Amino acid sequence: MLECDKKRTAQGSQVAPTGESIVNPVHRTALELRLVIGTISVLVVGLVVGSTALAQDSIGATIYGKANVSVMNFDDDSTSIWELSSNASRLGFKGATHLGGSLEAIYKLEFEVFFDDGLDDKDAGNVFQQRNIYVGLQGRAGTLFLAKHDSALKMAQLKVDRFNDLPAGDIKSVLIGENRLSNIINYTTPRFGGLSGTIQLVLNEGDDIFGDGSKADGLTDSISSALNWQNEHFNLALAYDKDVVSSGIAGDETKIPFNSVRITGQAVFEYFELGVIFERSKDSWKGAGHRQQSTDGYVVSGALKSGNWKVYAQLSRSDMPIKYEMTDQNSQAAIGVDYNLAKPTKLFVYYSKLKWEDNLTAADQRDSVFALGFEHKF
Amino acid sequence: MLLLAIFAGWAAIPGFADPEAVDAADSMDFEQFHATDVWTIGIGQPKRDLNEVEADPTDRKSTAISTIADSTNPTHRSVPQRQISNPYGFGSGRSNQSAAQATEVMFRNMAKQCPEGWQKDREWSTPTTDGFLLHYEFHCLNQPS
Repeated sequence: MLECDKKRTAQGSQVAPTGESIVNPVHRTALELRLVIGTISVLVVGLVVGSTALAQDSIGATIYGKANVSVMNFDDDSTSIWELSSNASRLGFKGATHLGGSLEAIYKLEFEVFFDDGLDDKDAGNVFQQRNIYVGLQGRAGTLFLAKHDSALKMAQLKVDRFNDLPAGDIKSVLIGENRLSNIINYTTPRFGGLSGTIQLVLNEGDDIFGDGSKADGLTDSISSALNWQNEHFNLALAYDKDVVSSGIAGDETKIPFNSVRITGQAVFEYFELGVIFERSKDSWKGAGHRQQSTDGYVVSGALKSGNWKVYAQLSRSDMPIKYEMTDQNSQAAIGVDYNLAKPTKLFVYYSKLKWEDNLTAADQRDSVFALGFEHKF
Repeated sequence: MLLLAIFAGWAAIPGFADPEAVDAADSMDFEQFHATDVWTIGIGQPKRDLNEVEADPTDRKSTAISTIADSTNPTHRSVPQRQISNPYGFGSGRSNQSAAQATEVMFRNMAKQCPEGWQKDREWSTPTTDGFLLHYEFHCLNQPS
């Protein structure tokens, strides 16, 4: 079953047999009053904290975000439902403080926000959900930060994934390695002639990531890294993950470590764009009875642009253990159209079809989505 | 709820919206992502007056330094003067942005600092190891005197 936002019914409320609320009206008024006072108090505290920061010096934070909401028809083997979907909409804050010379302290705090009912499978009732977040230093020697952040391999997808963050469209349904990693130390070099490198040390903090009872408690047990070169029209990336835990199936396990290599190429011109990703992954799970396997995958995407219109399509294939440990084939085909109302605002429509096939039992799962959506960046 | 309130307070600061940051946020180019941030002086560092500004020749960022009006400035005695700087060049090298690109960054910063408009009072360039450093001295319009 596709990991799609599932709707939950609203929380039930106590009612008397007659249908009327059984809460004492006087008690309810007192509760409401306390809630109002509590809310005001919290807001005042927040404004004082924010204002105090302003009084010290201008913080100068930059706010950014994206609202991406679609009305979609989600169809799997057994159900077909219409949903309102908030697709990785986000609110972020970033900034820099000059420390002297070219050295600055940098930060980014980014959270997913929900324009639908704010509920999803992972944390029911969650309104803000952490995305990339870091604090660090930047200067002539590069960028160093401590974070929860997308892995270097994930960032190496560049902009090839034209259905990024969209239900049934994101390449995470086909390729291993689309991870947001916790507890990372990230270093990125300055860009020389368009070329830069990124290396991330992932601290597993003693977890048994290999399934053999050993503790991954070192600094270099898991590493994600990438080289990136870009100019006006071309963007290339080469990435490597060493024993990075990713979603993948091995027996009853759903998160196991992988060694992966990803090569990405992207070309952007005035009227068309092309992109391709090749990836090879081999799991390093050492659980009893498991045989490690090497698997491959690719993504090809393209777009044609004219005026405010863009038509784009994407094809993905792999035999990676996304849904089944022994996968025959994962496949995705998608097509979409954008109409730009303004530079930060667009309407879009897309259709995407996914299929996962088991090599052992010949079972398969299929999902498809047809969606009409609106996106605004701010 | 407290987190939301703190951010509400923080957002009450005259911060800036940057739609282009959304796409840059997912890339590995962290230098570009923070290129349009408006700098603040490190807390605890003294503010500098105009005569003591040091231009860092390899610095790609605009340095926003707010100062109290210089009493020797005959034109803007009572309006806070601001100065920002940005490197540019005409060839390869670390200051590899063009004068036009440097100017755009400067205008973004001025627009962010002075959302009700500004007046550029002075413009000059000083040489660096691989180009020039562009300096603007300006003040915000509609500022109380």
